[in-house]
Amino acid sequence: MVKYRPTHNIFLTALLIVLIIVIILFFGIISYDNYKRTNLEEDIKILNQQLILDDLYNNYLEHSENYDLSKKCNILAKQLNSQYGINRKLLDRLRNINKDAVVSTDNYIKFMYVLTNIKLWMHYNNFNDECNNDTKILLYFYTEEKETGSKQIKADAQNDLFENRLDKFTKSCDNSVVFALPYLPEIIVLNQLIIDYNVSRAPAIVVDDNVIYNINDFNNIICNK
Amino acid sequence: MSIIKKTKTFFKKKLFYLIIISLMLFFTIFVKSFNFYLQLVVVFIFLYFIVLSILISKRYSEVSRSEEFPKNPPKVAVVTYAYNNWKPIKHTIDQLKKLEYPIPYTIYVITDGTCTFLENDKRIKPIILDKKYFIDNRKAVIMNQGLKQIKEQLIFGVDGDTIPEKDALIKMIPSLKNDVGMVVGVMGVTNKKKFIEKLQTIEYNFSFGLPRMVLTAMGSLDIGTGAMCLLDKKIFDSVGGYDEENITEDKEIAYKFIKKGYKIHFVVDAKAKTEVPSTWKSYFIQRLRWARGGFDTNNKYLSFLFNRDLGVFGFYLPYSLGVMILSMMLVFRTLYHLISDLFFTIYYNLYNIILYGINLSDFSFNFSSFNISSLIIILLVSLSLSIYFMSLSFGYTDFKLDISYFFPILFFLFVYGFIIIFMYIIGIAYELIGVKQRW
Repeated sequence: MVKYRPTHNIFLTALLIVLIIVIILFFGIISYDNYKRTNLEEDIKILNQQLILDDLYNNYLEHSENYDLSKKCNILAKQLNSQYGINRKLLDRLRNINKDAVVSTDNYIKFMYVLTNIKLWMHYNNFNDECNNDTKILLYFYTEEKETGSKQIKADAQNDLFENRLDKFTKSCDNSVVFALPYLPEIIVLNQLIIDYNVSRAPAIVVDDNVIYNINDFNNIICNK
Repeated sequence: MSIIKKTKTFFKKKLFYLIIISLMLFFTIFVKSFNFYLQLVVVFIFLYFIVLSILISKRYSEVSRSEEFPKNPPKVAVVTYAYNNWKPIKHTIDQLKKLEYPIPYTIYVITDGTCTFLENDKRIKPIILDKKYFIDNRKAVIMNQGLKQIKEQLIFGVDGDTIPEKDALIKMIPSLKNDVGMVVGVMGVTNKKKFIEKLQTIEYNFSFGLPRMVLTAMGSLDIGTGAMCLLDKKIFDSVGGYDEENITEDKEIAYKFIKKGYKIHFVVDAKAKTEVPSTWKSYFIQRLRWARGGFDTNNKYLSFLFNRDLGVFGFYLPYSLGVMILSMMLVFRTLYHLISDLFFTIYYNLYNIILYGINLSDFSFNFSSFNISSLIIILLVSLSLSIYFMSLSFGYTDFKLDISYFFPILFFLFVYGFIIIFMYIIGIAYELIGVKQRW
């Protein structure tokens, strides 16, 4: 049997091969993770660009000699609709990225998302006022649990319940838009909103300057402005 | 044995199990997240043996092939035992009579005397033992007593429900030389109709292929497959025969042989088929016995760990034991989180129902603690390598999968490992608590 005894080389070769596989896996997964982040970041940037474009357009029209409100409102309505469509998908993607993150990162994307979302929400409010529009604007504060385990499951169960009901509401109310924000008072701009609307906990809905904590109260929301 | 020594042995034995259980609990409770880096370390450890096995199987593919038969064939005693297994034993004995061997051999059947059909057969020599040896149906006790009455140099032991191929013996004999004290062959399955039987058919054809060949090449095969093995009687006697306290005597005897400086050799061309459990209950009983007996043996031979005198085996053993413990830690943690996540998800959804009223469409279940994306990539790579290794092993044992194995193979790939590891966990817990062992 002596002739078959494996040499040290075979053990080292195996070690080297596995090391290469693991290194490829490491960089492959990190790259895939970064690719997802970069994609999301790009989409948020595009959304931001469009919002800047809206501002620019608004300013331009205000100083223009041929100011036409109805034309402006038509264009803004189209712009905001398309921006809202992009924005809706961002939250799910952001949540998935945060959950699947292989390496914890700074909160850069989350802040970007929050700021963009608030900006879009403000644009919708201005649009409603200026163009005398009746879009129902809802601000949804969801719980963001930092700890895993039972606390996260509790937060997820509450968020899911709220979101399922919100989905139903928005389907039945065509002219409604929802802006989801994490309930994080440590972010200054969010804290300002939380104080202004007197939101004491999450999940919660701010609609028509009222705060709703009970999903059964969704039935009381009047669809038209 | 003095009381102090007995007490010391008792605590030493329990300490081994206590350490394993503590590791499982520590990993589950205190390691908050099974993060990406930890996953990579685990993958590294698991993949190493697969890659090493693939390399060895390519480089030393002939190691387990049968060799040239010696010019002077040694005398062999073909031994089986008959007790409460009348139906399969008849078939086994018929097959043992047909074994190809250049010189006459005797078939010994160890029995308690109630097996009357043996009396008129001149080819068979019954070894009748006192009924007391059959009380617990412990094979180690029966074989130890029976083998005392055999004078031949070599023992070809076959279980009563095992059917060796005609050329099994003649292909095993040449390998029993130099430092080889025991030779084992490939074990197939006779009953393969039910799902559970097909699962074990896959398992047997996989594990009795390349893994055993690789271990043979590394001089690290540590099981003497009791269902069919060829061993040197002198060595068997010199190590004191089977350990009658161990419920996996074929594993324990292999360690005794290794301790004496002998190796166990696997011959892929020597084939036999055996009956496997056909119900989940009997399967769990068998696997629990294997798990408990295996740990019992590991515990008894802890001095083998990192023992340079044993060559590669001294390092393979801690690796395999480590992988087993790591697997148990991972499965225990996964099960714990699955159950606790499920519990809390149901609890909080019920809480919401009470709070807001029932509306089924409001609820969705999600398991928050899984890190799916990176795990999937890692799993895919590991799975691809494992499937490749399995296919090599099937090719080595000439096992061909047909369409009826579609669901069993999927189950084998994704679930079966968890069941085996789960049985290890129960086995460890039983050993720690001190649940009575049964053969």
